[in-house]
Amino acid sequence: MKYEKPSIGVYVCHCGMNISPKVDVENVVAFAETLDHVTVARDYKFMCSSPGQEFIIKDIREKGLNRIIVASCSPRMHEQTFRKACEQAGINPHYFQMANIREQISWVTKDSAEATAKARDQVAAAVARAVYHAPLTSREIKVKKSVVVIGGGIAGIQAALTAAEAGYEVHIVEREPSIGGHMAKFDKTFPTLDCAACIMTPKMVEVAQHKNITLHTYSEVDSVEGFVGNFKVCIRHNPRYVDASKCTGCGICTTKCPSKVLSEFDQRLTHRKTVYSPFPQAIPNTPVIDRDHCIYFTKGKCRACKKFCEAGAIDFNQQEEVIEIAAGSIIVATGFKAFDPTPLSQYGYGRYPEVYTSLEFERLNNATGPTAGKLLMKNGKPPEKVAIIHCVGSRDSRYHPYCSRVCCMYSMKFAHLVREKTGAEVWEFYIDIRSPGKLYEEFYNRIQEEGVHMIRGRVAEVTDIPETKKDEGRLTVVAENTLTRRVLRVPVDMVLLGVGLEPADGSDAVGRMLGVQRDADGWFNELHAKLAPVKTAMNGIFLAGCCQGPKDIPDTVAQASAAAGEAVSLLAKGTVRTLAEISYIDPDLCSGCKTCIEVCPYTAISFDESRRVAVVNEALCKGCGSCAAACPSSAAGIRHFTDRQIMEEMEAILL
Amino acid sequence: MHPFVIIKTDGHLSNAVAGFLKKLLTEQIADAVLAAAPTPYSLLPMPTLFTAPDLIEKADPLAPAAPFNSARQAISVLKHDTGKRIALVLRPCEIRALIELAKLKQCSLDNTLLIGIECLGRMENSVYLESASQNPGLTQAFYEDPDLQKHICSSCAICTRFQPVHADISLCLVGMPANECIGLSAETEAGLSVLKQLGFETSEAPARREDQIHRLLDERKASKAALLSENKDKTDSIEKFQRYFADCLNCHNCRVACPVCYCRECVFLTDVFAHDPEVLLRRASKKGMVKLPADTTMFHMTRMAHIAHACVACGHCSSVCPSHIPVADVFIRVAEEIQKLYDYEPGRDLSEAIPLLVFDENTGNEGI
Repeated sequence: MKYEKPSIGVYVCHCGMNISPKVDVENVVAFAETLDHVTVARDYKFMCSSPGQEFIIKDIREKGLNRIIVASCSPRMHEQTFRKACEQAGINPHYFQMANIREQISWVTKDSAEATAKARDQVAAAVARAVYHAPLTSREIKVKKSVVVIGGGIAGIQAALTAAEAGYEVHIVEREPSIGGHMAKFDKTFPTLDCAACIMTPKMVEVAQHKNITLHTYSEVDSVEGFVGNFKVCIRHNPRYVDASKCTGCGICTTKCPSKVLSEFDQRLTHRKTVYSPFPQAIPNTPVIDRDHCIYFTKGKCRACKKFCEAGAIDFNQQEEVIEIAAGSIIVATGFKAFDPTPLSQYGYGRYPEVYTSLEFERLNNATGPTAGKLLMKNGKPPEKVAIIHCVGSRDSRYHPYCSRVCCMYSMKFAHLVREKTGAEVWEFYIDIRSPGKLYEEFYNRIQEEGVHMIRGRVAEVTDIPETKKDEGRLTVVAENTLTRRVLRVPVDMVLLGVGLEPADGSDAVGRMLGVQRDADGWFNELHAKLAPVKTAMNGIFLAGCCQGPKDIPDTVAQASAAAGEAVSLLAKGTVRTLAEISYIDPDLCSGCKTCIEVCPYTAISFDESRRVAVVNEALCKGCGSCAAACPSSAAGIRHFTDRQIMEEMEAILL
Repeated sequence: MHPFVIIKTDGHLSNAVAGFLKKLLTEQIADAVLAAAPTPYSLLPMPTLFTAPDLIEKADPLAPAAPFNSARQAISVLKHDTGKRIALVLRPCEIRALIELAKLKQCSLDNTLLIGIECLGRMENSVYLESASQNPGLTQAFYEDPDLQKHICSSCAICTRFQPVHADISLCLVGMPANECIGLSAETEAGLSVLKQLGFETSEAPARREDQIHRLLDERKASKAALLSENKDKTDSIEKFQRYFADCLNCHNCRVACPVCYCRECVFLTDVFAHDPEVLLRRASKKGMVKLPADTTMFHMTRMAHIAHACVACGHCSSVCPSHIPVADVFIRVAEEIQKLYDYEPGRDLSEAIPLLVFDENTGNEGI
């Protein structure tokens, strides 16, 4: 559709030495002057500079241009710059079109003549399409001043506190009975070796006491609808069977409960009751009844907890409850899962009692763990020799090709703790030591000075068949020291596996529910690896912590603060603009086949049953174009990427 | 084997079929029956919606002619559920198209009784009108005389899906001497219950049917393979494709005749292809001349991209082409390749998702 007679200005940029001399800029300008509707064509060294933009503004005002083409770099670089210049000069910013003659031409074409010919085509295409540009506008939508944080580990806690401190209402949703996540299980944290509980629990308490934070523990997000600024999040509170409003947290129910099961929090190294709080500093301290194992629920008898609870808080009839929260933004902080080393049978995990995963070691070493923090073997004696194996499940094409980033550092922390607590000899088997953090390399040097044996080589096998009789009953670690090219057989009492990190269970479902894509390894995708590390392709949904990829506590806290910062910045602004380049569906052309609804990855299209046509929700649409491609009658189209515009563009290049 | 009913024709095939359809109305099994019948003004059988039992005697759904694929007419009475049960007598390609249109939400099949014809083919309209005007008993003669069956149109002659799929009841003709009897096969529970309601005794299908079906299928497969391979030689490059469609007048008859072209308005009638004179002049100036109408190759390519997965091989696009371009041959050939690629068969199953709507990470890795 032509809205007025087009009068086009074409500006070809030299980009210093980036475009010219590879592209003969003067030649392209001369060519542009011959094109239909072109009123003026110029070139300049840097179009994006202030004088460059001034040319455009001046020509629009003086020559009455109503379409502007800049042939320069990628629209990702400067489309906004030039659109703003157009707006400033008084024409609709969507009357601007960029021709990319740098990334797509001068940087990637060897022959100068070829590059110039290609640049002419690109300019012709931009001119041809711009004739059919339409003035577009976007709408402003108010945002809800609240944040939902999914996951209550250190990432979720940090993000929640940051946003709550800024004055926004925050809801934390945590599926476990307590917040705290993995960090609550740790004893010491590298490289400074401060006690995890000492730095973690004050933050947990702060969350519990913060007037702007509502905790939803033992809860899950059921569904998310809506769009940036206006999400509708349904949270399911699973029944605790303990009324939090009555419970005083005295713990008598746990004491009196006669039934025990293995403790998930203690990595199944010890037992917990069936009415329990996972750990002493749990927030909230209201216990839950494990329905699957509770004697009353399974056999219909017992009720010991109810009998002894003076507050009358035990409620076997409690039902799950679904509540709906209106949220302006969502922070995903669903964390990770430790790799299960069972498939690596050569390391004997599950076969040999003295082979531990890193999380098991964390509990073993923890003052609230099964041995009250004493490093003891299953026979009650301290180990005299300990092996630590790096990269278990990481940097391994059979399991995870990526580096889990934290294992080197925690393995060296283990070495230090073993040396400190038991004086045992420690042998570390590594591929490469990765210690690129503040004070990390220094920590590496420190443990070497503490006499830890560092062996560069991937362990081939852990076996209970000793080389000599005296080592009977011990484990033997077999590995090649690749620095000395010698095969070692090291008898040890205890083996610690530095298992890698993998995406948390259920993150695929979370991804689908939120429309956030995951990468090949299952981690959530950030919008841009460098420039938008906490945003996602879904506006208003941000990432914090390990759900985006393995990272240590300092990085997690930094990223969580960043995610909260982004979320708060969105809320503080108060409104969001809808995109202008989005789908529209012509109701006169729509056949009502619903194909577009099925292909829309953002659930932005609904069906109007009375008119029997598909309708686009402008706030949800991201303008991806799936609907336009799928619709055979072109009832669905993308503004600024209409069939007409694309056809004209192609024709200018092909003919 | 499906329960089978044998109806005597006593030399009057059309009457026997009409008699069966009449019972659907008198026994109140259906509120209306859609079946082809000649009109008062022409012998060409048109889809006709019957509600009066005495008028349905005029129906002649086995007449070897079909002016178009009736799925499009069927959906005009099935757009939404009216609360009325409608029986539809359709050819297999028409049922296939109807199923595709139902997947595209263009109709509801919830309250229908589908009666499929075991189809021995249709003649082109002109051939039929000439034969029928000379032979008032053409329908009967067609099913008795194999020589007459050679006059079916070229798409029918290569049709390997002549047996209805997805029908409740099939009208069976292969291996059934038309002067003696016709078969009714109950393909679904609903179909069986109708036959029982009408008081038919079910038995087994005559053994000779299997043999004859296989023989016909083998013949058709051979003809199809020959035609498609010949077509491939004529259409397997863009230049050849352009030459194939060189005589296209841009009349869009093929699109109108196509039962699975379901758009309310074709994109080729929208602004997208309403070029400004500057565009045509620019095109002309590149080579010094340009043929008008423009975009005819683009039109066929686009239509192929839109419907290749759903093409039911009815051949009506060829039948309506004023330039006698064998449109169907190339569509059937490409459709077969596309459908094989996605393991998709239009009309096979209402619950089978259209390939475009299935996200499969491995799609595209196998190559064509």
